[in-house]
Amino acid sequence: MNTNKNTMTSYKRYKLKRNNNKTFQYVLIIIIVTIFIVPIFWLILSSLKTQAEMITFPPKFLPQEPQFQNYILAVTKIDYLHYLLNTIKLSLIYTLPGIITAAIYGYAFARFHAPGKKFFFNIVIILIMIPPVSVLLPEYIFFARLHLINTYYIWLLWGIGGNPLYIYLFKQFFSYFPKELEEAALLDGCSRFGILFRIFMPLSKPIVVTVFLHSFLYVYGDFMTPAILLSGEKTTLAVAMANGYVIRNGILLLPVLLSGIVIYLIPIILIFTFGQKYYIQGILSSSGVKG
Amino acid sequence: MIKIKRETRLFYMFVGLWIAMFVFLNVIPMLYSFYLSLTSYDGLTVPRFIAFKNYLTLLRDYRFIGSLVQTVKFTFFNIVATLIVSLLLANLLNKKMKGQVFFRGVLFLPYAVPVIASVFIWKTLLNRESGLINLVLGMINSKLSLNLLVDTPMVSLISMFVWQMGMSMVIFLAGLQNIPRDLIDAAEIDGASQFLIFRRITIPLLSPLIVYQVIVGIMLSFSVIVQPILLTSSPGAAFTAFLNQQPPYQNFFTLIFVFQQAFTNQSFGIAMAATWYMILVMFVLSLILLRATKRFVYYEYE
Repeated sequence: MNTNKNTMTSYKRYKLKRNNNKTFQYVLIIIIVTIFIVPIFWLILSSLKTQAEMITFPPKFLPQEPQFQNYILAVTKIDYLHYLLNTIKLSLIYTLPGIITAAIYGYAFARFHAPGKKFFFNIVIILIMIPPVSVLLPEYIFFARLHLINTYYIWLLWGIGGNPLYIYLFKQFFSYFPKELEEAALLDGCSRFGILFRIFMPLSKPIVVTVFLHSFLYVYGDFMTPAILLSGEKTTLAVAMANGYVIRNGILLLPVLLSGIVIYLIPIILIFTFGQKYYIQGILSSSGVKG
Repeated sequence: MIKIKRETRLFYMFVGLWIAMFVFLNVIPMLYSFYLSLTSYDGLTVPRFIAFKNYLTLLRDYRFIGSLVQTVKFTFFNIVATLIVSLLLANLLNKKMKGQVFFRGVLFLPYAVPVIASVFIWKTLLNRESGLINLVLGMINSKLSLNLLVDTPMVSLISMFVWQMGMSMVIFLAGLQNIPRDLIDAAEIDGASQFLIFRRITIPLLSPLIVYQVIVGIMLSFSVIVQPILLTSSPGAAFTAFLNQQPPYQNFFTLIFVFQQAFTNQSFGIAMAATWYMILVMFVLSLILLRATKRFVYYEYE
């Protein structure tokens, strides 16, 4: 009896502690989430300030008078649409061949047994970890010798070469398909490419979406590669914005640049809101954890 | 004639293009860059072979050595700060609560913000004149103000990477969700404190992911170049081409040295030699890490 009562109170105390913890958790997470979202709001507020407000101390919370013309200036000071189209074009040049080749390579790694496969797949894994920027300079010199600098062919070559992460993602996905699916198709006289493009690909929509989002956002957000490899009219929006909002004596129009950045972020926020699930899934698979 | 199995032929037919492109886009440029590191190449004249002179010159170049030291320092603090914050946040998100998906989305969002945007967001946040930090400090006491970008450039830089820790948080979160729930429930009912559970159950079970993240962190930290230049170098009134801007010495990393040697000084030979030193340091650090943690890491499937 006594022991029973003891356990009851200890259980109650445990319950109470748990409830207190819950409230504390909500308060904590809301504070943290606010801290993480505040920079974005500050960006929007700052984009509506005047140049003078940006460089006079102390800082003010709200702009004296919201400067909506900053946004108009942002899209007219540089040929915003032109560079945006450049960026989209470049993203597609890299992404569309990239999906097809990554699927082909991934299929081979997933469905065939051959000597040397393990060796080459290890190379794929190592390549995932090496950030592209660290080998950009050797590639620059190499492309310069081939007279490919300031052309989009470089991105086409990279696309055909297949991003190692996407090869890995397709390989993982294709590994789960049952062997019978393939055998039945082979008996019906379907070729290997036919199996890949008529049977496997239509079943792989989630991974295709994942790769598309990743690849598109990667090129869209990249700054260093276009800054080094492209120039003038051919460059992308990110580089054009970093260089473009300067007036004659070299003063940077910071609020206008910030307005440009807000517009630049809109597609990302949209893609992110609707495709977050796929985007996160892609990252998770690469680190070897199941989501 | 040796008969090659049909499947082997098919495999190489499928990945043949990849192997060719790998050689063309990775192996040849790297070999060529190693050859150039042994020459005095200025981008215009014919490369002249000078053996290891570039490598020796670099060892005596205090700016290069300084940049390596700063890169290693940055790598260390960046990884420590990012991983601690992302692990704690993942642990917090792993608790059962309403709106979890929303919270995760918001905390992950900064990761998707492109570099050019995040740099200028951070610049307006930490700036002395227009920054939110100084606005808040000013409300507490009107005399209070900080000039973080100038006084503590590396801390400013790392704080930005902490803001963008979404990816490692999501990886930790998935790792946490794979930890059997009953293990933690049992510990809770036995009266173990949250800290003890974290220390004795969570950390050991996550150790393979932590090692993975540290290695990825080393690679990523060594390849940081745009952020320190655009965030912390103050071009004053004149906004020049971005590689010509000079970050303060705390944020002058090896990759910046490499690109400035190549594009500002036109000494590609030196730049390539510095790249190879950097790659060497990166791999040595990763190997040391793998060796050192081998005993502590818990691999379930081994």
